[in-house]
Amino acid sequence: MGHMEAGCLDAKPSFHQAADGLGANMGNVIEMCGISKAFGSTQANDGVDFACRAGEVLCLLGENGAGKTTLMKILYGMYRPDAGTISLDGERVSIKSPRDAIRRGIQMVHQHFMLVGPLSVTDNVMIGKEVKSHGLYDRKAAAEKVRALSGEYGLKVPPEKLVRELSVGEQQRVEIIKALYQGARVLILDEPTAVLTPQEVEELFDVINRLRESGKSVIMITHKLKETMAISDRVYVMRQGRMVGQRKTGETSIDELSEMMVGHQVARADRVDSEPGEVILRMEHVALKRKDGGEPLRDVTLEVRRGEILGICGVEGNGQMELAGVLTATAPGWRGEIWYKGKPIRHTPTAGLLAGGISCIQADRQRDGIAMSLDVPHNLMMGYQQTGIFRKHGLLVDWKKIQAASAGVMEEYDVRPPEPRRALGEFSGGNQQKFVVGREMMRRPDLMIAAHPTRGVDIQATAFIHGRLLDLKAQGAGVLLITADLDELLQLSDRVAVIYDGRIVGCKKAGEYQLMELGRLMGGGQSDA
Amino acid sequence: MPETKGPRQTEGRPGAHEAPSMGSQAHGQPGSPCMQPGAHETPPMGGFPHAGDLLPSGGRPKARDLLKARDLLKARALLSKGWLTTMLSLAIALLMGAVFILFGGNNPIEIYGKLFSGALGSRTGIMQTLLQATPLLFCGLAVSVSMKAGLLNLGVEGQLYMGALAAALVGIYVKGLPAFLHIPLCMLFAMAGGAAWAFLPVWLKIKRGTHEVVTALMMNYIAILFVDYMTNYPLRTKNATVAQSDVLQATAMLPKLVARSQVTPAIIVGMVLAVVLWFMLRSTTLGYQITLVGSNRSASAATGVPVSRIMVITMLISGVCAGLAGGMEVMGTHGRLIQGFSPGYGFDGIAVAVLGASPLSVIVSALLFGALRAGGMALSYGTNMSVKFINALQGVIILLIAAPMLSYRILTAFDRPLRRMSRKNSEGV
Amino acid sequence: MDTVISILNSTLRLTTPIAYVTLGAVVLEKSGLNALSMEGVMLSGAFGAVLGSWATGSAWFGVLAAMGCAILVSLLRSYLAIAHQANQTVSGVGLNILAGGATAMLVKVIWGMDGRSDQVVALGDWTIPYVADIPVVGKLLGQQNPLVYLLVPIALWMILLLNKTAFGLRVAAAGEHPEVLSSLGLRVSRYRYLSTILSGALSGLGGAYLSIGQLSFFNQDMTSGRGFMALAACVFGGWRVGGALAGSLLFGFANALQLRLQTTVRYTQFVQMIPYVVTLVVLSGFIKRANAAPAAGGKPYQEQE
Repeated sequence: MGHMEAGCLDAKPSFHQAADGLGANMGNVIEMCGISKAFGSTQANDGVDFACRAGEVLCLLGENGAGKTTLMKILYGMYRPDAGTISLDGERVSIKSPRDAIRRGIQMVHQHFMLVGPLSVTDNVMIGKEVKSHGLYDRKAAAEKVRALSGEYGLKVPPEKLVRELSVGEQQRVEIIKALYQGARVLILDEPTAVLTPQEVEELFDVINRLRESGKSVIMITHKLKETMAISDRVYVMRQGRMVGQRKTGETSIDELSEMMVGHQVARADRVDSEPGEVILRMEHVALKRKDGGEPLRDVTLEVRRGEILGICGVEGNGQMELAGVLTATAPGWRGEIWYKGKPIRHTPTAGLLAGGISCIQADRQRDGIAMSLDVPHNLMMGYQQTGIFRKHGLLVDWKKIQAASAGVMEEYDVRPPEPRRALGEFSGGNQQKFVVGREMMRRPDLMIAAHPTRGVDIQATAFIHGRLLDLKAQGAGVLLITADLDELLQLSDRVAVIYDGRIVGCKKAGEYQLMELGRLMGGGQSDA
Repeated sequence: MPETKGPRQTEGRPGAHEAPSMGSQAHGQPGSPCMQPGAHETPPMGGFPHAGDLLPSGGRPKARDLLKARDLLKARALLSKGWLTTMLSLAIALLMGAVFILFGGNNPIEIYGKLFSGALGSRTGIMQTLLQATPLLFCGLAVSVSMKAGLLNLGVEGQLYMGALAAALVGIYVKGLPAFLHIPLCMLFAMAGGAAWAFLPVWLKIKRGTHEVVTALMMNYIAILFVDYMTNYPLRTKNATVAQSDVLQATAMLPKLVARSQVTPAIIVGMVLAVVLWFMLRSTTLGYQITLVGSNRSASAATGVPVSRIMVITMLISGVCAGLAGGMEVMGTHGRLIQGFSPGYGFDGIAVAVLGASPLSVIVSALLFGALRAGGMALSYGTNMSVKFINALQGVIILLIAAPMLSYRILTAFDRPLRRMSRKNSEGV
Repeated sequence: MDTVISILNSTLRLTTPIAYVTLGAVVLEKSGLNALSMEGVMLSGAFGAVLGSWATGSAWFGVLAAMGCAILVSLLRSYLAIAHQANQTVSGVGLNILAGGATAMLVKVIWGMDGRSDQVVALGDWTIPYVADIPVVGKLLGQQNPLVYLLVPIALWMILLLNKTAFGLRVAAAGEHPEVLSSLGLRVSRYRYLSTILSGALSGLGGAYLSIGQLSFFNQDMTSGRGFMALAACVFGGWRVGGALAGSLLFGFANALQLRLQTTVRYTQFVQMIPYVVTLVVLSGFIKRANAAPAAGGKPYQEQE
């Protein structure tokens, strides 16, 4: 790489000019030059340049796996780059650990929140930089500090409450307060809107605007174009580990950014309207109470027909996972009525449901979908042990047949590397997901419960999986699609049901929703109609 | 560097065969959580760097790098077999044992020599080895089976005593049966006794979430005290200085396998049991479900495995093995129930099982530990070493095998590129 | 009346060793390491106490040696678990077996006897002036082993440490969600090692009380399950210092009752079972209620370089 020296931005006039246009008297807070980083044989970052000014809101745009998070984790000291330099306020620095980064005023809010559930908001904010008096940790003074910060930036949270009792949006606010308390000048937000309702997104943007006014820099990692246009001053676009370019937000368009981001047009699998058939699944007033008193499902009434995709839309943690659990008999003790193929399934065990044609792509694949320490054939056998397909002489397992089937699934779903003898834990997350989808499709289900079916896979594989789900629908199966990705939901579903606090609060044809209406329903508000 | 360079290209490069790139699909999430710490169930043998990740990255690979990558792959393949780790653990344990011996003012070579000759140097020694290996084999199988389902049956000692008690009761009080009925009946009761004692820990685990290790240990104390009571009061034979029962009926006694020794066909039964268990785990749907439950309980439940039932069945099988261990001692070696007759075979079983990963290799490790125990007993005479030396060795072995990463790091300590890359790999999680 | 006082008195004496180890178990479990190894650590402490007292002729040096021994032994297991991601259950069991074997073997090597050491200097009781003269209370609290008295300030200090200091906050984070510490640039291993050292020192005190407090010699496997009772007490107390101490009081009482009944009941074996049965009941009765187990407890955590 040619730009190993500090000050590479001078060597690249286009970068320099663009950055300059925002205000000549403000220097770059951060300059990253020629950053390269490889994991194994995957080049996650390849000679990436990046700069950020004070009081600027930047969006780092790119598809899953474009290398955005890697770049920011390098800035945050979690990874060390193989090549390249980082400068802060024009001075070359080496950031060896998050501690280094924090000391220099760089803070990151991770996609999976770094919060300790059983501790209070105050405690969570304080970890690592506790307020002390007489050598002891002073909770009262600490709570005052949290209150002050939360007032200053409009981040409403109750300092004494335990974090696990907060909503996702509130938890995010705790994360931001924590970052500010630790002394952030540069705040990196990793996909901050992924878990929020449109209303909560608005609130977040208000906070970001206040941060900008107070001179902080905010870097937002995202793949959402509309939000990028709404909040940022400048946009960097990454693709396949390389920086494709940067634009001032005012001088670009969604179309241009989208083309920069994807590079080439990926054939999208779009919904084909079809005539739905008979009802295959009907749930009436289903409720679920946990032993600890929680009530993840309060009142779920819905039906899925053959030949349709019913999308379940909602902020994570509003009962979607329990809904899937009830339908696979892994969440016992529900009340209400469920009919599958016209028969009640109150006492049918999981194995019976699978044998009866229900298939489930689990949301948390590593926990519920695969056995990481076992090889591919062992994983393929999962769910088939009760059926006769892979048996011989009654109770013996027909490993030869399973191996052949494994090879088939791996080829069809492009699971790489094609080595069935490896433990599944040795495959990357995207390949694990493709394997799971392949295995569940192999059952030829009549009812497919697909929870986050494309989580962690790349664009092409996403399009492929979407295509298979649509095929399944065309073949006359019913599909219950649970996803946090509104685009995916609206693209595939025939009808969309909104779940909030364990209740179905709305159910209409996909085309009949306004986005803001969906958002209101997801956040617990009333429908327009 | 050419501008078109990207992960895609790696597919076409030479040598990509042997060293396929881990998760290198064009847009694959870099550093995706292949081995995310804490996020998945603990793999039984820890995490090794992936072959693909050992490859030097970026740019066109040089021939030298490819060669190195192949060596690294070989190293990984060797390690993943497990036997190398096992051998290394054994070697380190013996080395640490030597330090212990030195501490006691003895010459390690002399002591180990004595240990060896005590175990295998004479006919008596070999018979003693076989005699000691028999209960170790059953106990090792008991622990090994439980570990396959992700449980750790530490109640083997107690189950052994309960099996022995059941066998003794049937052996003493059932009269008039021919041997070919009486012996199997005793064995059956021994199995039932062990299984019954194994039930409570797993039941409490399922119903109340109690850690099976602690409950099973408490059950050990209770079982041992109960057998104490039985041998001291109801079953106590007259005119004996130690607390022990009457001798079993002749029809309940195992014949001798070798003349002028105490070795009985029990060891053959144990080996057959090992083969049966091995086949069961490998080729039956029950075995498959046990393996699955042991690997990921939550995913097993989600794919229709009756997890609780499988856990109970596994624990009962484990208890059956443990009960047989006790029954065979009563019916063979001792011919009666004696207070505190087991010198901790149940705990030795942990080391036996941990060392021999599958039921077949448990046979080998049981023989090994049988020899160690026989040799250790020989040590008690004429030196200031005690047979407890063997327990210390076992502890070291268990500790080392519990941490395969340590052996792996020791083996790669002198290989800098491998070390560097494994560090890189751990960074990428 | 005398019976009650004598039972209370022996409850106090029998609670003390378990209480120390329970405190050790609490801090270890809080940091995310499981406390299955306490039995072996306590046994090492008991052995170290006798060894130290025998070598120096001073019981207080014995106490120091007990703490040192127990710290070393628990560090061994934590090192494997932290630096090499060892399976904590298996390594905990391995440590118990190693400690049992090594102490018994060393007893033979040093004192030439199977299973039992020579008599060594024991810790003498302290008499508290004035208090000893009060009726009833004096009999209970007037004259006790120094380690009994020492338990009170140590327990108070532990409550302060875990609830009112930055260290306590970070230990809790290490046990609940270690990534939080990593993301702030704090080393999880640091807090887990520190907890290990603290827990080792406390268990060492418990072991020392057993061998040179109550007795004056080491007996092989003399802890006889007390390490596991400490773990049970920790669960009983919901991983809180106060509750865990209440739990150890329960076990102390069960032990006292057992000793008392042994003199009156014919079939002593059933009486001896009492503490073990209590452990079983406590563990199976309370673990679900106390949903306070550290979320990351017992799981290996690989720190980023």
